[in-house]
Amino acid sequence: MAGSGALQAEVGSGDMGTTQIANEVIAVIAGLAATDVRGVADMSGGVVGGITERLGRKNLAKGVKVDVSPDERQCSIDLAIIAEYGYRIPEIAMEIQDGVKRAIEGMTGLEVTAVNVSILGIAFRSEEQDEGKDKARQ
Amino acid sequence: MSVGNRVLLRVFAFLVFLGAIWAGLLLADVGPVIDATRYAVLEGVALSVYIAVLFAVAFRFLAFRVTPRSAHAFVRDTGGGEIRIAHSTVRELARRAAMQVRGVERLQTRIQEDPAGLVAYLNVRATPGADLNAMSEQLQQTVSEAVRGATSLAVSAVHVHVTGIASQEPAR
Repeated sequence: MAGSGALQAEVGSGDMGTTQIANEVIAVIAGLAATDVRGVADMSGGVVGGITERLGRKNLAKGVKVDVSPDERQCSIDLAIIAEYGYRIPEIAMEIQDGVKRAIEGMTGLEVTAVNVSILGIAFRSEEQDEGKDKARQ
Repeated sequence: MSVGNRVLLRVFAFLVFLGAIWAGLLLADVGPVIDATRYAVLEGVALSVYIAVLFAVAFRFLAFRVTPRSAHAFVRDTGGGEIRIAHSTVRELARRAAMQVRGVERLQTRIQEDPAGLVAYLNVRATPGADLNAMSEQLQQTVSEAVRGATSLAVSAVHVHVTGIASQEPAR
């Protein structure tokens, strides 16, 4: 998952001390920014993420992978999302790239080199149960 | 699932089947089988080879990931990073669009990448009384429009394969 504490971004080091931002925090910022975009139904955290979510723990960093460069100034983000039916996927993706980049750069001062968006599925809002039945029949 | 895995799975099933029959015969106290087993355990190589192969294949499938995530995807690079649209996403889109066409009772979709764009294969079971020609034309149009509209990917072909007719009108 995102940010198991291995690499941390160091965004400021002055006379007073240093500021470090955990990858987890960057992941949460990215996750929030991405879910804000219209047309994003959910983040895709895989099977394990789904189970922990069922157990009631809302994981805001679900489906986000953060890579901080060795010099701790730049980062790249990988996002896995479920898109909503009826939206144009490239537009959603570009909006996500914009929003995530702006959110992270605004809040942390890190430079975002790339926001890679993977669309792993489509969600159908009202007829989800129908859809589930269809899959079961296959 | 790739071809190699399919073959391995066949081999595995066959070996387990063989083992089960052998065990059944042993339990049923069939004389020659018991003798053969004793021989195999004592000095035959066959048994150890059998177990080794079974073990290797079982291990392969224990480590097998059911969904190779984002293995197949349409990738596009925008300035600020990549957009990867998984094949499963396109498949779901195509499926959703195709299910809305009159005469489609059941459906399987498959997506392939082609230099000219993506190719969709639809296996359709039609409802009785459906005009198959009109249905498949409608399918090709609906699916290619839906996929192009939602993903901006070029759809080079939609192949419709009518695999059967449903036995009765489904209750919708």
